[in-house]
Amino acid sequence: MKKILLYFTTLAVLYLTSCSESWLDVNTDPNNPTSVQPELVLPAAEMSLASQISVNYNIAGSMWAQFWTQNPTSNQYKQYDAYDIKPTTLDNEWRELYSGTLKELQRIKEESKSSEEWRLYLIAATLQAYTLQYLADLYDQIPYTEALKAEDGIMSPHYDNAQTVYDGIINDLNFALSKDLSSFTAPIDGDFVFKGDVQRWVQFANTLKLRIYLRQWKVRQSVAQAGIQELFNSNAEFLTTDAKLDVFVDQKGKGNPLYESDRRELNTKINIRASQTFIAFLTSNNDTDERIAYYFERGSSGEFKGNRQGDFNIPITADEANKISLARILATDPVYLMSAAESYFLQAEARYRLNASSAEVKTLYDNGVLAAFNRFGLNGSRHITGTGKYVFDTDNPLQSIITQKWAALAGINGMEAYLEHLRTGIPKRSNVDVTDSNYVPGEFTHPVQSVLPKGQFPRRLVFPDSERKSNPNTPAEVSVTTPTWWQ
Amino acid sequence: MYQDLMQIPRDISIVDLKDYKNKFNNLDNYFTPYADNPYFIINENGNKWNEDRVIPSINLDYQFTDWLSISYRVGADIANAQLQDWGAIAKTTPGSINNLRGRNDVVGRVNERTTLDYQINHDVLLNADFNIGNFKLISLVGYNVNEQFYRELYSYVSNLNVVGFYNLSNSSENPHSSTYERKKRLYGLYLQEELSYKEWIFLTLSARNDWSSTLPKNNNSFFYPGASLSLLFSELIPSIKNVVPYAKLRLSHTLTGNDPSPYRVSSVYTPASIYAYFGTINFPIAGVNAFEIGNTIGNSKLQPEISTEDEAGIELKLLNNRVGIDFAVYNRKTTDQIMTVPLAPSSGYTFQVMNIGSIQNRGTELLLTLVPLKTDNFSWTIGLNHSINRSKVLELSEQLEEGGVLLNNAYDIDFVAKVGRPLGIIEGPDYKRDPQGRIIVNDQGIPVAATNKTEYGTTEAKYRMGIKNEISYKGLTVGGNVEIRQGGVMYTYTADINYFVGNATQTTFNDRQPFLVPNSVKEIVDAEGKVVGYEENTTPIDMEHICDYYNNNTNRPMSRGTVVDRSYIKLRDLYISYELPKKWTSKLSLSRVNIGIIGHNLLLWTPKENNFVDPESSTWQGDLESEFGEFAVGPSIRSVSLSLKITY
Repeated sequence: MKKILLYFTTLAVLYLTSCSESWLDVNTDPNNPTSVQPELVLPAAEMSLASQISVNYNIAGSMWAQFWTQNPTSNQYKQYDAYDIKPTTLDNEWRELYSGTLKELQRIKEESKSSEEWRLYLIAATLQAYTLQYLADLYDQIPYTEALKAEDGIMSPHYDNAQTVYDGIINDLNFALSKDLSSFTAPIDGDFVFKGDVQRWVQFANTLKLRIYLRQWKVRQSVAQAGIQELFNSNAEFLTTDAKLDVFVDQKGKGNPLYESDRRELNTKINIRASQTFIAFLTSNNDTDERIAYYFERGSSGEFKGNRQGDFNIPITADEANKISLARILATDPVYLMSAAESYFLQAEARYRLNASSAEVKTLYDNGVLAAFNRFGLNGSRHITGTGKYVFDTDNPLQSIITQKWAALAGINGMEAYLEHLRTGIPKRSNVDVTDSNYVPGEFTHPVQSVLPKGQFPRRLVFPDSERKSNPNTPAEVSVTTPTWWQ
Repeated sequence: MYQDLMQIPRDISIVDLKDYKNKFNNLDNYFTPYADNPYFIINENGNKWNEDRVIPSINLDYQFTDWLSISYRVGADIANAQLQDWGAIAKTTPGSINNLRGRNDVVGRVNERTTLDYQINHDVLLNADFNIGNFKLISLVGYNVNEQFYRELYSYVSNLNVVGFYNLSNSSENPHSSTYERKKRLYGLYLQEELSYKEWIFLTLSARNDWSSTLPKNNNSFFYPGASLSLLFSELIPSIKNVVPYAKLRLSHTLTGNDPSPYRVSSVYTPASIYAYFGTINFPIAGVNAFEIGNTIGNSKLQPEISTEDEAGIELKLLNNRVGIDFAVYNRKTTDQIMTVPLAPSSGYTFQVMNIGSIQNRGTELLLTLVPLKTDNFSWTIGLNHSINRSKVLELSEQLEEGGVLLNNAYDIDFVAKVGRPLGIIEGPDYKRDPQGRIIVNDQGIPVAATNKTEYGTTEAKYRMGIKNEISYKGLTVGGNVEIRQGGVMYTYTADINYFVGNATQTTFNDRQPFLVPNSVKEIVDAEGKVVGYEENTTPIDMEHICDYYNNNTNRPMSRGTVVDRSYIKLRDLYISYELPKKWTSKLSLSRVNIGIIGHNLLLWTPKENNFVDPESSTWQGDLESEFGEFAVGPSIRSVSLSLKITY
């Protein structure tokens, strides 16, 4: 017995005296790596951006741009349709865009800059500029120069004006575009948008610059004009194909993010219905033969029917509600960052602003309409020729361009459509109800359940709750009806 | 499932839903598409859990001399568990009413989880006792080694093919699998000296130094000493023994140290899993895998948490041991409390584990024992305990100064720590008011929230009290415990969901006839959106708007209803027991037989405003986080049990 005890205690003593620094060195997380190459982070950043802009930004924007409205027999998106904007509105999206998308793109930029992988830098810079422009447009002041620097101890970044952000992203795009990208030819599988195709990324960056310049046309015309002129002078190329993520399949967790959220995971899938505003527009313009079937599903009585914007508290039965068309959303739908149609309309407006000939503007405009229909494999030429309702109006070019851009963005880039409405006032806001005999189809009506009085509508969001709670440098609250710098 | 129960309106009989395949209660025709028949969930969904747990321990002692000995203790707690969890396929027939209402199909799922969870603890103790005259010294030197380990393997499939077959093979999707592992190691050296004179005075000094794996490598050692003194006055001054047969005073000053959880020092990347509102996008996508930057930033300056406690106590027995008093006063200060703190997302991260400053807890504890009656066969004992604890956040690190630290939150309700306030205040939206104090409503007549949240109250109790009564007569004992807690508020999701569906009694205000929010006004805005005046509100809360009024998403100040007074009085237990007389038990060759009946949690009284939950419920883990309240906790349990104790 004593021998057993002796062995046991010897083993125990040996074990216990082996305690040392190396025995304590077990604090490296075995579940997560500390270093990952940027090519494996890029797909996460792209998908993060795609998920934020295609779900709630798109739903809120599409309701504000009056393509969609909340189903009357459920209530998932009531707050958007009612203009009821709070600090928690779109707060999760802010969190994911900053701590996910922008942080990852920043890391990719830093690493590709030091390894001189200029193609990756261009991709990250373009997507970062795209994201930052949206945030600047929606909040008018956002953290930028001090943002994403937690490693340097900056936990509470100060906010910059949108103008500073606009200038900063243009500089970054110019820096990225100034590099020699000719040596980068091998495809990048992790780039869902263009697989690393340099020419397409350059086109995307240039078209994004157009969007950035045109947005500030009213408030800083000289800067905008100079920027656009420079693009035209250097024969910059613009997108002729969609910048999109077309990688989704019908499997849980792998489908289109809007489908995953609104159709697969929510307990009911009938929340997003057609707005009578958009249905009236399409109907009155003889546009109910082809593309409407890609925007909406037929109601239960076989028609394409919309509901009055924001009229979701009417006490109707499930049967009556099902007569209203649902938005058509498929698991395999791509997420569009920028469609070819939008690219043509941006070019058309840019040429128009720089006093190009009517013919040149019309060509670009026509390409835009055709691209919008072509997205569904349809031929839209009958709408822009002869007695077609979308024939370019040479007396009112801006009205044509922005109206068709609005219709082309329906359901895919609702927030962009709404921001352009805020910038240009197109489509107009109507003084009358949609049932009134004087109603002009396509004009925005005052949402029935709006919490803002008639004539008021959102021009921005309020600073997010997650910043208010943790960042003492968050600016004082600004009302949602206060115009932003370019409005 | 409890959420499904709470959403059933008062005019639908829950027990009549039991036959869930019946055409009125089935998936196609259940009264709502937004919740499930609870009986469906009970019968069709389920889980199986098996755990093997071994708690071995070995003690070895060796006596070197009569005053020197060594002992070695090793103990472990090892648990191996398997969990299988499944959800049934639940699809509505096309054309049925719930199908038309858009009820989404549930495609079924199976999860499997295997876990290993163990802790091993070794102590080597060297004991030495010295006696010098009336002095006695007990000396102890110890060495402690501790390891904690957890590993799990998790796999699931969804979208099942065969109905009722719950196996990972039952899907056309590939199983999604993941593992998780966590390891923590610590070793420490400690010393304790207890010096006593006769049996009157005891002085104990202790010191301990720990080295932990979870602190930064260059700074992973921490030291915490302690001292205590107790004086037995009744022996020191024997003359008082007539009045006070027992009197003891004790004083102590002790430090304790605590290390953080593992893997907090470095930042990591995590396998990409992207938030898409109700959806999540998981990789690989199109054959491509991805990693994202983790949301928690590492902290290479992490320090251990050190608590310093001063305590003074007095213990007295009076009146022939009929009265006992034990009273203690304490002051505990904890510095560098380790907490996971939310960060502003614009910094690039959303969380950091930090040392957040210092927190103080001061209070008193009193235990009073009375024996009013005592004879040979009969005795009645009353015990009373009373405690007060007052916490205060003394300082937070510079960066957290202004807004305080968010400890937990649910929707619009925040649980925060702010300098100068008790540890745990609950804040939420307040009514936005005009300069005359009238409530501002929006265009639909619904109140608007002010920009800054207001304090709804603190989670801290004013006092806690317990009253114990026990009467015994010969072999029969009857007794009970009442517990009282006064003060403090808590968040309750049960209230939240009941307001939302209209089951809360508060929603029957004005018999649900249309009413104007009392003393309310609307803002008058100019074309620029600026407020230029106020006008009397004429938009009533009618049937079209009553749901929006009680929904704290659309009427944010209504959130006040989800934070309730957490005071209570509970009849904690009541018991009757009878010990059979010796003459009977000896006949059965038994030493003692005792039968009893005991009821737990028999009665609960709460203030009028809390007609929702048992205030002691909580659903969150972690001492501090769980102070916040509860989130869809089920009802607490009242039980009655019988006991039979036989001693041979």
